[in-house]
Amino acid sequence: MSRFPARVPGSGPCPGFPPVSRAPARVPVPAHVPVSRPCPGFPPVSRAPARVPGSGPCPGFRPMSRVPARVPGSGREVAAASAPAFLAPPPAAAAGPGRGCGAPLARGGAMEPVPGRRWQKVLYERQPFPDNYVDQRFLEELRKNVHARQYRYQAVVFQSGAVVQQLCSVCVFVLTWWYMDAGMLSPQGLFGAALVSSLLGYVLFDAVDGGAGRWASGRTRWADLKSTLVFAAFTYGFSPVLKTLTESISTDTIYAMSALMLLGHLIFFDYGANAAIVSSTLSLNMAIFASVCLASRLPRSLHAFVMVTFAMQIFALWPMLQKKLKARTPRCYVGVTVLFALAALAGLATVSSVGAVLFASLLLAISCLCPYCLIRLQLLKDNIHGPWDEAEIKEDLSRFLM
Amino acid sequence: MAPGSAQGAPAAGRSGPGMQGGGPAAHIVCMVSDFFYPNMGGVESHVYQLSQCLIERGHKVLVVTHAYGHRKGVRYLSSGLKVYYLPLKVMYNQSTATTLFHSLPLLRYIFVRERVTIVHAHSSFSAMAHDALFHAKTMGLRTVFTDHSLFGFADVSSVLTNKLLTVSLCDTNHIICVSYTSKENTVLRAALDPRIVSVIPNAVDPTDFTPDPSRRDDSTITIVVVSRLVYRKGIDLLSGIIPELCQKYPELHFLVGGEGPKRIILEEVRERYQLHDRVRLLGGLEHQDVRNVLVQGHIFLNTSLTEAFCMAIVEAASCGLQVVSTRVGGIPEVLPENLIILCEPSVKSLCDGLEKAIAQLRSGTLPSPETVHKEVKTFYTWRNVAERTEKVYDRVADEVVLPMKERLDRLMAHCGPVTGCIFAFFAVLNFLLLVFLRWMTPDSIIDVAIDATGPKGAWTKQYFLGKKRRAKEELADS
Repeated sequence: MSRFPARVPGSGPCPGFPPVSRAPARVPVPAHVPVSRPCPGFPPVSRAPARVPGSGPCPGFRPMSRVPARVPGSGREVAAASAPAFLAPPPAAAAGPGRGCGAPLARGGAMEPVPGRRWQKVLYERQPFPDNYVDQRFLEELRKNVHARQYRYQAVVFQSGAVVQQLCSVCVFVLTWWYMDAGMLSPQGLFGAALVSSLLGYVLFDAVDGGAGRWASGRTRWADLKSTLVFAAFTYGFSPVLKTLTESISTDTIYAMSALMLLGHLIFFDYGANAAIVSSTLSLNMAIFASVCLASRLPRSLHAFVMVTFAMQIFALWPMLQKKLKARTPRCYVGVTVLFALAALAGLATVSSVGAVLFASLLLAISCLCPYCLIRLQLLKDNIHGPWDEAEIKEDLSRFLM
Repeated sequence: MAPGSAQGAPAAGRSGPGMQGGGPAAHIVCMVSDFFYPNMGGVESHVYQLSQCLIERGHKVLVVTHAYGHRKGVRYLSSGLKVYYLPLKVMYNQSTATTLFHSLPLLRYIFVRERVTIVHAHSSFSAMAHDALFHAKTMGLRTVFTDHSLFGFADVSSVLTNKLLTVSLCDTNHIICVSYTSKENTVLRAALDPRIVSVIPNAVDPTDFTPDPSRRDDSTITIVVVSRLVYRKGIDLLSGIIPELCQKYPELHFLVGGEGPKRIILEEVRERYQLHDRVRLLGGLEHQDVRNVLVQGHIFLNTSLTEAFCMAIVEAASCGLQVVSTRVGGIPEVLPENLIILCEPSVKSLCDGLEKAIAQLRSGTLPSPETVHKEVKTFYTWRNVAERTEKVYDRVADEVVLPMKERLDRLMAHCGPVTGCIFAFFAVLNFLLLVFLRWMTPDSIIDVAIDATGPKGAWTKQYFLGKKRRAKEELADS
């Protein structure tokens, strides 16, 4: 907390404020007193940087506490010379001119001002200070940027990997569909490749943490196999239905809907932020919906089956593996992300070079430029806290109802 | 702009006969708030009690609020307090809609008819209060505003409300807050000069809240909670405290007064732990019943998460209960340390505080309800509040109301380039509307209302004693 010795509480009316009581009307208006003004949000004062009015106190406002009550340089008692009487400590206020709020509360005679008595922040005691008295302890409990975090650039770039990965997943998915639609990729080939990579991923998933996660969840391999078989069988059985499901809908609508759904998937995906908008269920459902839409435009029902299975793998299973890789082997995760991004870019380049360039710049912006902006803007954060904030209940109270 | 003729001759009153002579002139104060009886709450009783005490001190006071159902038009309350229930549309939570303009014709009529000199608006939630401030400044009347609540700075809604408050208060003559914490909050929210903000606490009527130890059952220990059952009052914390303590102390009983959306979780807790005989939920309480509930308990528990002043703990302490409360907002300023046990807003800390209170109760080290009452009743009285508010009025009466040009400059300099200009434009429009209204119905042809309040008012016993004597007096006066 820096000190602004020249900043004396209440040592002069704020700019733009007319003389507020009779006192300053008699005393020459203290514009010549070489002090700055203590008002928050008032027109910029000499030493504090300019600040949007109303956005909070000036940075120099808090140091009002423990500032000497004497104007440096002028050598005069602030209260007697310049300030309206109501700001002065009791004895000076009594001597000050004028009646009204300027006179201390004690005017009734019940409370004699006690020289040297300290002001207390209590309401139950009648204190020998006027009601609008501003003590040096005013706003001393103000805290700034309590929850602000200092980020390191590298850490933010690392965390942005999740976004890059998900963008690439969507890109790869759409590319696969494109190849299948153009007949450049056979469904059998894709199914084989997806199966092999899934098996690899399955082994890796357990190998990364030495089976600790599986042990904790208590799930058997038999259960995994069962759900895989059930899913595959049902998708295969229903793929003719999927194929003909959207026949009556125009292709443009399908494309628009898929694009919207994939965008929704990206928006609601759980990137690790603790926000209300995050919903991994919704996100996954939107991606699957998009895949069903796109699959229905492929030539045969086997295509549709393979497409939906592939969507499951890339939108449901792949992020799970990523999360584990990120937690256990960060270096490996960075490598995988870069490789995945390069693969997606290469694939995109075969379809559209302009698209590839744009996508590359998007990825770069997200992983390099955005973290930089975040860190720069973090410096401008001006969040104030104090006893007036609503208390937060930090405990989990639902246990009492279980 | 020239001040309206509305602020013509100030009525005699405070310096009238029977009062201490030579005092300053009485004020004609118009209290404006969306919240007034028959609605119940802290602001409502504050406005009413303050008005009554100001009338007692010789001022003329009137209250302006919006119509509540069938209650509309003009009503007189005790000692001639005149209440205008204006036909304005209620939008949300008993607050009227604001367009900044539509209420001008009505309010101007009232201000002129009653010869109002000071407009005193209450509560930052009340749109009508802000409207009235805006119009009063256009008409050149002095303005005072009392803020009753605390606000955060973090979310979008607070950012917007705080901006509006900045606009509303930047040219208001004086602001009153109910606690020092509230003052800090308001000064920060509205970017004010702290010297135009006074702290005048709320009060309770100590004769309404007297202890009655015979009403409580000393074979058990009863913890009383009286509050609205909403999230901000920390009812979730209460739902954790009840099972925790009931398991530990078999003779402990809870008495909960109040209604609200969180009642359901208290009922769930009661069901889950089979506490039907020990946790009584009384539902909503009328104000006059609160004391009868309070005196049945030994300990009062307040679990609020935010509170500007908290009348409830003063009422409870006045009834002689040991108070256990969360340390939030202005609560630490309200009662001295020997009367309150302050805790952090968590189940554990509150349970510790309650256990401390129970231990003191069992060992008999708590002061008797009578001694506590005697101590508390000196803390907060409405007469004191009125006396201090009067000082604010005296001060404000000496100030100049900003002329139009300065007001526009202030708005534009103080409220940011965008908001400031928008509201400066509104101020100009408001002024033009006022000029138009003055042309339509000049101030001179608006009747002056009969002064019903105060010692010289029409609402005195003399009126009922007989009109003859009154007529004689009038003759003598002239």
